[in-house]
Amino acid sequence: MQNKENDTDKLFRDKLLNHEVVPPARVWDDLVKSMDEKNRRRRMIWIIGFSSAASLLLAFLSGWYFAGKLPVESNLQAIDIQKEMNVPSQVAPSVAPVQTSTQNNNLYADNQLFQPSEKLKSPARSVSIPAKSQSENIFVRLLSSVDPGLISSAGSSYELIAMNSDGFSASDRAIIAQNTSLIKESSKEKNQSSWEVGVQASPVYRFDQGSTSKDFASDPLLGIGSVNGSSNYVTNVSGGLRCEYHTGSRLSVQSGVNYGEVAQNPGMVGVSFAGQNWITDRYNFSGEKVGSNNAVNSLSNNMILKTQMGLANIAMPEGTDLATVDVSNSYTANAAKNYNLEQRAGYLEIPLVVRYKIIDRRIGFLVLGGINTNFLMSNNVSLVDNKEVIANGKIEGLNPLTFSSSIGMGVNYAISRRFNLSLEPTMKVQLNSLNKQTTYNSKPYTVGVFTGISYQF
Amino acid sequence: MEDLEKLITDCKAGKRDAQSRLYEMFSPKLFGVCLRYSRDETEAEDTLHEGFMTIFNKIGQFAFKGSFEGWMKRIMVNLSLEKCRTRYKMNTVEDITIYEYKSVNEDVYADMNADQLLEIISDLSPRYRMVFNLYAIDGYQHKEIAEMLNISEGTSKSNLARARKILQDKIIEFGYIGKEYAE
Repeated sequence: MQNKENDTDKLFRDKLLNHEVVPPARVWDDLVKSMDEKNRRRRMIWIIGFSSAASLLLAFLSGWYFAGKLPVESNLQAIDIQKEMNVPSQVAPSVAPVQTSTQNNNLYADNQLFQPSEKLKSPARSVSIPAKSQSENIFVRLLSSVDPGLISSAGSSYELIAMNSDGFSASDRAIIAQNTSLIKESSKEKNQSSWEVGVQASPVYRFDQGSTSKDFASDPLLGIGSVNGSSNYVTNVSGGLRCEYHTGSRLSVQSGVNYGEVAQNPGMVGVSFAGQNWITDRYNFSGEKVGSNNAVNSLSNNMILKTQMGLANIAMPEGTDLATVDVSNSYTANAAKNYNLEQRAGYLEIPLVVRYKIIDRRIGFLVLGGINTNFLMSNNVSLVDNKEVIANGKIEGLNPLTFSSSIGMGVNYAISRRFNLSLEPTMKVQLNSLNKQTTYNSKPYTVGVFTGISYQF
Repeated sequence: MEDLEKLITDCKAGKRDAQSRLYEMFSPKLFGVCLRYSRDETEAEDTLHEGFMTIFNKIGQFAFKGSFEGWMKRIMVNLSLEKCRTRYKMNTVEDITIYEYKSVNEDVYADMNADQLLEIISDLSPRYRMVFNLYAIDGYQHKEIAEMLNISEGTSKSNLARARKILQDKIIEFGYIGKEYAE
């Protein structure tokens, strides 16, 4: 018995241990596609990582820069002068050596108060201001508006100065008090809830995250070639209107409406004309026949193909008689022509996104996350020959309603009190499958950098 | 050998030409391995695809110690086993004494070619196919097979015995058919 066992083992070992079989050419083609896709994803991860790091660095540097410098220098220069009061006679009695008051060497009171910026950093040192004011003529002016940057960084210092300004006259104090209350008003206004509307758009890169059911092996899909499924999605642009509600704190809720397309070029379709019959067969990118006959069916004058996005149902030109024929034996390459299959599904997206401002300044930084509801609006499949559309159809079985989640971050820049520019790298992950019929669970995810402009009121 | 080292070094650098030449050089032998461990050609193609993705990703870890071909073959075998583990549950221990082996005419052995053997091996259930391939063709011991498939040594032995029995029956069947054709 042992001998027979060994005979069986030996038979198989001798004939199969070094047995060689040349694999079909499509395995290498698919391998190349998968490697290219992997490289592309790796590049995208680097780009996103680099962008994020650059955004963070920019936000950090700008926050540091504006917090340390702007309120002292440039912000104050932007303050409008509505009313100026020259009060040398009221200040003069307390000034020991009388100076010639000329327009050239006079200093505005608030500029004077803030000029030695280090004095503002410590409340104790601000008491030296009146002493200094004794040596020079001072103009105290009434503010007409307040720069946002002034409120967040120097608002409390104004009050402090007003409280300690012994050297000022009654009228100076009145103006300072008025300015202080104006700043308080503005500060309160900033903390109140507000609305923001705007437009945004982004190029969208789509990647495949699909999975297969257990029947997938017996139900091959056009252009996939392997279950590793390198996707053939086309990069396109998504954009729309946004409406955001600011709660008054760092949180805001955004909705709106966006339009975007899921476009895919899944592969080539070989179509040949023989007598009155269209003969169809399926081909991959290398021009090789793939799949089995059950993947191509004819229904009256329609050609039906299985793809990652669903069943592509294409109406062939009038008057042609479409037939599904097993052409594995009689097929000759010259008899058929390969057409490109292009698919587009347009979606209207209603987002519900929550934003949280990490840095709330002129240049701000935020993180965002939310859920999007996508409504299927358009649906088209075309057979294209050198940009000329041969036949049109639609993708069967697409879900009319799908959901996706959003996660991202953003940098925004306040051009003025009302207008903002934003740059938001965002990733969206499809939560349910695009189609409901095929054995392929199509869940592409997208990466985009949304750029927009908005108006706050 | 020096050429192979150069080729491996180029593949480590990610050169597509080198990857293509490596694939041309070794894919027939590795596809032969995949076919032995697979249910059908489609599954073997998938394994070959995934195997070469792994080879190109991990070729940087190959330190020129031991056979490069053996390293690649182990990747293909491990992937086949991984698929088997996730898709099918291994059989429990059986009494191997229940199998009686029939006498097989040695001429039948000589008549069968590799493709015919591959066909009958692919008809085995996954658990028998894995154990038979590992033990009878690739020379692993039952202890190693038990660890690789996360089964007991007893299960490995009983699966091997059952696989041999099925294969012998198929060979005998082939012998009869061959004889009838000859007559």
